[in-house]
Amino acid sequence: MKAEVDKSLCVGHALCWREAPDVFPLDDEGYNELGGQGPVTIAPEHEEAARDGASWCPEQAIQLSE
Amino acid sequence: MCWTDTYGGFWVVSRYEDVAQVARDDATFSSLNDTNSDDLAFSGVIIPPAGALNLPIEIDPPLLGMHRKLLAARMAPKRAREMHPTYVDWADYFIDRFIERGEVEFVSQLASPVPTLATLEFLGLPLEDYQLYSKPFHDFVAYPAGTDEYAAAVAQMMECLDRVEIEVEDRRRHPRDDALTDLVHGEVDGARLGDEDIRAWVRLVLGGGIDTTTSLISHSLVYLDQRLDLRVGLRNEPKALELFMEEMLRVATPTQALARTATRDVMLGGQLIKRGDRVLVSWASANRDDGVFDDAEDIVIDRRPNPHTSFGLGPHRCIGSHFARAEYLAVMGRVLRRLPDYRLTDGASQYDSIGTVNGWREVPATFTPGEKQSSVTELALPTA
Repeated sequence: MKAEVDKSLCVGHALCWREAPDVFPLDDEGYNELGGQGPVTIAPEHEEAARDGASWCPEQAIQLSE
Repeated sequence: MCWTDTYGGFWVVSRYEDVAQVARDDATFSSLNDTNSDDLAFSGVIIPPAGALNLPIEIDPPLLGMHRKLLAARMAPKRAREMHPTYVDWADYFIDRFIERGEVEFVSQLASPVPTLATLEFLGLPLEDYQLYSKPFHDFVAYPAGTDEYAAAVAQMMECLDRVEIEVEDRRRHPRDDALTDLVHGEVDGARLGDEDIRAWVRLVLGGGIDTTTSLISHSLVYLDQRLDLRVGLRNEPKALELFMEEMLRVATPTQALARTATRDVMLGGQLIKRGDRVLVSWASANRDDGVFDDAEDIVIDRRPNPHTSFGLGPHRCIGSHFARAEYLAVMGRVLRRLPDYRLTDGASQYDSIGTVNGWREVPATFTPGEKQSSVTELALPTA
């Protein structure tokens, strides 16, 4: 699974982090650290958390691809 | 999408998809409040215009981002989480004041004071002044313009802002670890903020930080009055309380709607909006969109995910959202723990008319009296 966080959509709701802090760390201002990094590989043990975390984003800023 | 001629005329945006489109497109839907002009166009985010500028809710990108950067680190989720134990202590302090009596008016004695303290602490204002802020910032939205309560609130708010001026002056010479210092010493586009801009920021932090969170707590206490069956689960499971909070955010939508001005002709929801038209973005209505929320009219306390719009969408996402949540979880957690059998008595009343904030004037209740917590005897600033 890969996760891509669209930096232009991320406004810092931080619900992804609240749901899946190991998958979606935040920077010091509260934005998803993966923003702008392109597709990032998600470890198998984190896939469910990644799905939950991504689903919480009201901006739909996190795209997952299997 | 519909038009109303009231207050000079505006469109009402109610579908989630359209609300999201507006909120994410600042270039087309401006929040600007041009205080030099009496025109309705570019008169900010409140209908009818509130008059005084609130920063940074009433500016657009790129200046918006530069302003938010002044306080972004201080308002980050981890900072809010660090405050949780302090908020719990404050909730316990206020509960101590009434727990032996077996009766309470929740709004003035708990739901308003804790968010007020949190906001004052954040800014760096003296905590012992909380009553000076708590009542007027609540009454200002609870009572319509023209009432004695409203007039008294406005007068008191002016006094509060005068006191803030003194603190601002002090921070110029004596920087501290607080938001006022960030506003006084920070720079936007290479320059420090002028006095009027600092005032505009403080106006928003006080206005946004006090009554909104109070409303969310009040709504939740009223809802749970009828749902004794839910209380034990919410008390024992932090995740359950978190999901419940999100659903209360969705159905109560404390900040009901905010406005924009169209900067160009644009199609929205099948309607042609003209340049200069005022547009009211109904967060409350978007939150009931059954295209987004299954059983939208039902309160589903474990709804997940819950992409409500109650903290806004897009670049103006409420910068205080993490603090609001931390305050709420602290207060509700302590109520559920220490006042588990509270019941509302007659007299609970909502605001007569809702301009922006959807809240409760009074929520009187009774409960089995309990004991004070001996560790909390006085308000104290959290140690650095």
